[in-house]
Amino acid sequence: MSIIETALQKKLSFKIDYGEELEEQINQLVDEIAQRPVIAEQFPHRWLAIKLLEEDRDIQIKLLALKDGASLIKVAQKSIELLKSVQGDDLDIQIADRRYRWINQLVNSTVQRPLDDKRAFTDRFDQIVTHRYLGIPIFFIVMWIVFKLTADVSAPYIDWIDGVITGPIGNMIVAILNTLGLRDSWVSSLFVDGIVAGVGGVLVFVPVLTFLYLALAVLEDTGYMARGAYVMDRVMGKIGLHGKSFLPMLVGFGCTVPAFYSTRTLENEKDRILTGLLVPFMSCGARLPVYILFSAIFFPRYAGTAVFSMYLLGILTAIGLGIILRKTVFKNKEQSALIIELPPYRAPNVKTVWLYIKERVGTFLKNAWTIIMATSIVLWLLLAIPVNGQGSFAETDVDHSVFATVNRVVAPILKPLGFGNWQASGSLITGFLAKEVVVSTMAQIYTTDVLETNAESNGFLQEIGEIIFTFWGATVDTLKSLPLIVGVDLFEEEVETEPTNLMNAIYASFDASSGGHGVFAGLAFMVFVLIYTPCVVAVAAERQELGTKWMWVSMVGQLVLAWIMALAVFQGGKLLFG
Amino acid sequence: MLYQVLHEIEKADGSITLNDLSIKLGVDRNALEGMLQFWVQKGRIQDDSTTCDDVVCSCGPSFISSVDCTFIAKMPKTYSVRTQNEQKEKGN
Repeated sequence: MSIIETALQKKLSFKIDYGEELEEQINQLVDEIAQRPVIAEQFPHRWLAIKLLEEDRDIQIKLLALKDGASLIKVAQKSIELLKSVQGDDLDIQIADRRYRWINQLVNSTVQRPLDDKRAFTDRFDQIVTHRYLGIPIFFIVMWIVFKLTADVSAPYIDWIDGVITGPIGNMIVAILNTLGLRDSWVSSLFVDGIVAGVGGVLVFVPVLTFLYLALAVLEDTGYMARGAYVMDRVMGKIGLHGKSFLPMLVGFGCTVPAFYSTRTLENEKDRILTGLLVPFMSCGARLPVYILFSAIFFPRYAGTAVFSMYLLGILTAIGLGIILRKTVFKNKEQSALIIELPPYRAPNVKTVWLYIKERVGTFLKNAWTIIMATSIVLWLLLAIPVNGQGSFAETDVDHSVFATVNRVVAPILKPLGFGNWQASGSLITGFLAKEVVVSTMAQIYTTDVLETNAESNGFLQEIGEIIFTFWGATVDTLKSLPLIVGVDLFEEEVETEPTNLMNAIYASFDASSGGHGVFAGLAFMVFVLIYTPCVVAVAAERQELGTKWMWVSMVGQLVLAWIMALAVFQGGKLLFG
Repeated sequence: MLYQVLHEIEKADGSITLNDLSIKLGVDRNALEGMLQFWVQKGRIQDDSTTCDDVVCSCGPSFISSVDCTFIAKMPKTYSVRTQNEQKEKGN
């Protein structure tokens, strides 16, 4: 026999005890209802009395349409005022509280839940990964593995794409241009030195982003990312920042634009502005190609660690600046608590991970064909126009171009940082459009001889065969590099990639501009890129969210801070290790 | 019970997970979500997933995204207790 049937047979009824004072008023109202036959016939008396005390609008409207309804509402109003004068809080909260208490007691005394294995595992695992002291180191170790994996595993594929762009694809473009009779013309220069060098220079980083998104998608889909946010959020709270500050910051690791918008979750203006000022220090995905390129040039054996340290430096800068600003400009002692819902752990779903990667890499490719291509064309034009009669259009040395001349004006400011040449200052200025453009600009400036304009295509099928063959080689190298991540050398051979023309050119240039301290200059450049003003779209979002005044404070402040930090890295490096 | 929920959150001095709250109060997680929603309606707690802008955020549960960005992080769902000043601002 079911529980319900038993209850019906025994005519069991339940009655929640709302406490002495409330019960007294309920009973008085029940008596009032009983004296009004029209109303008493239509509603259960106790239920109606409680609804009246809750000031339920629907019930009040229904009663007003009935005889004696208005007078009953008046009586109820007196009871409400009396209770409020004694208890001082919303009556509906007290009624709801009593109900929840009753339900909880009932559930605890009657329901026995079978042990959920999945939940039990989640709870046990959470005790470790969200531990007060272990949580933070675990989070950083996980992120280090992500960047190590991204840098090491993608390196052979970077070489492969670079080889494909400067090899088969470049050769095909050159062959087509030659067939059209455009050999050595400005059109040929535009394609080879502008579009292929610029867009191709950024496209080589698609494998890096693919592996990064793969790792992040797995972390996110398994549920770990939410734990990471939780442990970092606790740190933010401890140093006086709003608990919710870390959420926009975590978004900022991908893109600063939505990070600015997500500061809206902070209701207090001071918290919102402070978080908005710190968000740009979280290194966005677009800066990653710069770190990867410079790490490969200056720290080839520790590329993953170098990239990770940039992200870590961004977090530490934001925390340090946050503490200073909280103690000076944004004093706010009132802290609000935060409740975070952590999903249970689960195995990553292949489709979800695939969609995650596809969406993000797709957007990166879209940017490459739009913003980066447009920038590459404009930049090519500026590099092609000679000044002071040095050569002719598209045939001048880039050293004598408009671009070089203009950026030479800015370069001396960067001299104390070790990269006081027009190439570096020009790349940083164009990087204001989008951070990937720093790399595409360098690709255009440094490797104008990336393709041989006299090269002939080896034939379509042979080129395709070469692409497939080299892809296989890259895959084998990647598989060999996997055990190396944990320090195991199964193959007893170095899986080290050869530096490209661009890498060699950048190294030589930084070495020259820093007086033989290229490594420190390269590191200082990475720090500058991390800290300086974000891209123009992010600045627009910042203006929208924080206002014009704070946008300028942020822009100028970041430029100054970037200069100081890069100076400290370069000069400090020279002093300590030079 | 409702007051206990608020009390435990404030006692946590920072952030607390829904799971920890559920264990501390001996209340089922689903019931706890109902209680939090009650406080959301009363304006004492803010459901952060509802503060997103349509243009920037896909306001499904625990999801912040932007169509124009190369990276979007899936955030855990959060609720925050409104401070007294925030409650006053909201009231105005």
